[in-house]
Amino acid sequence: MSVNNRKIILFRLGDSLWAMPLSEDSQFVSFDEIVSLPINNKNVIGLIYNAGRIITVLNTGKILGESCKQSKNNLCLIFYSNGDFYALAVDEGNETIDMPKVMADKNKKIFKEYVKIHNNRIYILKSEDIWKAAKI
Amino acid sequence: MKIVETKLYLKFLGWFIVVSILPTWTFLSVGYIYFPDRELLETAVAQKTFLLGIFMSASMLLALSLVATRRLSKHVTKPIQISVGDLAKVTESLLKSVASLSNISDKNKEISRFLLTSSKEQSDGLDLGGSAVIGMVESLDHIVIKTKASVEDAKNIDKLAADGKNKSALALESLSTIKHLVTENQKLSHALDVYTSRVQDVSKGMGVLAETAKFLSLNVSIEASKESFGDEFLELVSQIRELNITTEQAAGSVNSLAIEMHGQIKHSRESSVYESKEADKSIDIIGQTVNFLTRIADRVGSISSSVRVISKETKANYQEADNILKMIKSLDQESKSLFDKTDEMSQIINQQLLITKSLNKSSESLNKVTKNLKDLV
Repeated sequence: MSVNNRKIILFRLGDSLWAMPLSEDSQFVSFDEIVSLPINNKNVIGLIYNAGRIITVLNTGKILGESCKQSKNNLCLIFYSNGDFYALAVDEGNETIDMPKVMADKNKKIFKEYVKIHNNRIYILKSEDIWKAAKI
Repeated sequence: MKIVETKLYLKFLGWFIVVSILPTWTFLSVGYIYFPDRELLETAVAQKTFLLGIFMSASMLLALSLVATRRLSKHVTKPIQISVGDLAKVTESLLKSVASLSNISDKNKEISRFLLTSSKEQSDGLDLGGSAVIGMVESLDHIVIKTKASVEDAKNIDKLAADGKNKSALALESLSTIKHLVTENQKLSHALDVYTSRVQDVSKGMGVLAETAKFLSLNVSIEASKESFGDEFLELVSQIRELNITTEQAAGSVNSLAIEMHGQIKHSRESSVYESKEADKSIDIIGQTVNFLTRIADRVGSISSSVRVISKETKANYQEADNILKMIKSLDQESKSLFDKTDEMSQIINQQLLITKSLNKSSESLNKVTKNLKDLV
């Protein structure tokens, strides 16, 4: 199954919309129980089990900054990276759309690519930027 | 008096004659007895003796007349003295009687003045009393009128209290019905609350269903974007999305309905509780009102009976006042007659005073006469 890299998945975190490129294993899942990890990393919430897979749930709010408050809706967006399944904790899932013109925010070092939808900037969370910010 | 004096003088003259003739006759009788032949008065000695006899006779006559006068005067003046003494006593007692009569007259005069003043004051007082009784009668007339009006008012109040009592009883029954309805409403609210909780459960289920549909929609959209599915799958994705939207709208509607129902039922329950409390308060208040009206009716009944008693007493007082007025009129007449009698008595006392004065003058002149008689005696 080939993945169309020209599409992005939108999700809501706090008051803002964010985007993630569509990947082969992209999927919104909800979880009831989460297993905390015995490591002192605020960017990782814990592990969940889904469809025979163990998925590491990342604290998206912490990764994106303290100003981005995240509610506990037990909802996450799964993505595959470096041979493991990860998930970004989100408040609410949204549509999968064709990627508009990508622009770059020169004031930012990471998460600087964004698209404009209805004159709103929606920053794209690429996995490389996530690993840089999460420092995992 | 003159006859007595004349007799006395006659006795005195007879005695004088006897006394003056007796020595001469005695001398001459003795001479003629012892010297029947001699001329007794021819000699100087005889003449001298005769003159001496005359002188002695005159002397004796004088002495005897003095004695006789003394004795006669004793006999004559003694009853006069006694009479003068009695007259002095009579005069003294007459003076005392006149003085006491004068005192009595003065006292009578004072009493007469007092009676006059008193009768005038009594007349004035009776006039005032009469006018006061007339005013009292007028006041009693007003009281009678007001009492009659009060009796009518008391009857009206009694009727109003009875009507108020009946209406309060009806209001109490209505409130009992309202309370029953409120209780039924509370039961209904409770049942609706149960239904609302069930609807909320359904809403939660629908919410979960909508969430699931949303996941399904989102994930199907993601899968559809992976370019490995045809148009039919895209159509299915579109239908799933519509299902998601419809489910979300239905869940939202049901949820808002449940919330609204819950709010309405809560409000209705609070209103029912409030109405129940208010109905309880109103029942208490109306019960108190009924008791109050009952007391008012009782009091009004007693007031009405008291007013009737007052009316009767006022009528009786009216009659009494009429009697008092009559009595005052008769007393006024009596006072006037007393005044007239007192006036007459005053005139009599004045006459008595005049008589007393004249008696006093007579007594004084009698006293003077008595003194003169005393001096004469």
